[in-house]
Amino acid sequence: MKRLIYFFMTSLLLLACGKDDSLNSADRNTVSDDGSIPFEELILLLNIKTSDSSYLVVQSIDSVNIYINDFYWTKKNSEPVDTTKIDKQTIGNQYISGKKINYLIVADQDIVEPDFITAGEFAQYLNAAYRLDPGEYACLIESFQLRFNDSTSKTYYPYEYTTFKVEQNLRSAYVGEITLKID
Amino acid sequence: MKNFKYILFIGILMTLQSCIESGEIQIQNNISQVKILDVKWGDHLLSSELLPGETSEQLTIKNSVEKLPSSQKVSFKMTANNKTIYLETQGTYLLDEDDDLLIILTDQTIVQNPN
Repeated sequence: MKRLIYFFMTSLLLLACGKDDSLNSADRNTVSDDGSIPFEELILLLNIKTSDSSYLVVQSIDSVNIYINDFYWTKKNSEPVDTTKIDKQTIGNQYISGKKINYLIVADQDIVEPDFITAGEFAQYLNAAYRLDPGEYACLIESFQLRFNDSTSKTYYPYEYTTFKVEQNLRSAYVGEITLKID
Repeated sequence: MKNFKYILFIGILMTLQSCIESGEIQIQNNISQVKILDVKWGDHLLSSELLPGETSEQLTIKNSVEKLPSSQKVSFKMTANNKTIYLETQGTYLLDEDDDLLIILTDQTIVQNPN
């Protein structure tokens, strides 16, 4: 029994010493010059309003295409929602609810990762990061995709703008709650 | 007088010897949109900072300091957009006695981070 406990403890220690594999090699080896906390992600809450002013209930809002000012930021799915726990009605191929349901999106910048073989690729990578210095920005929801009860899906182009502020030395910014209208 | 001639002759020989047994090395940063810092050929610092298109001063590598011919990697810190990464060339650059070597780092130069 003692041996088993020792084995578990050693395994846990070894696991704790592992590298963060979510980072690519260039990210892992890149440092920020001024020592400031680098800006990493935007936090958005999206809800989908139907034409009769009720709210759509889906598992997630997919492929949300986000731009900051005129710069492509990322394409992300919202965090999934357990729809079984939501009081809802079925209308056609949609679930709807009278209660507003917000879908969370934590959007870090999508930078195309080169193969990191040549000096030019490393240079391109260093220059690709769009820095969000403190200040006011416009966030555009260019498009998103919804999957309905009958497994069909549809892409919408709301072109919905909202503004948000980036504060000094904060790693994230709250963009706010955005209502997207569908027919 | 005879001794003086000998000393002078040996002095000239030594001077010539020291002139011959060295190589000149220079480096140019032709990588787009990045500054490179602490550029080294092996352990020899060629430049502390090079802007795109800039060429370093010529550095004389004496045989007494580095046994020539010698083949070394170039290492440097690449910086842009407030981010820095340490890189080394995958290939080596050969410097021989009497050589006048100009290393040009371009977008196509194959590099790696040793980590």
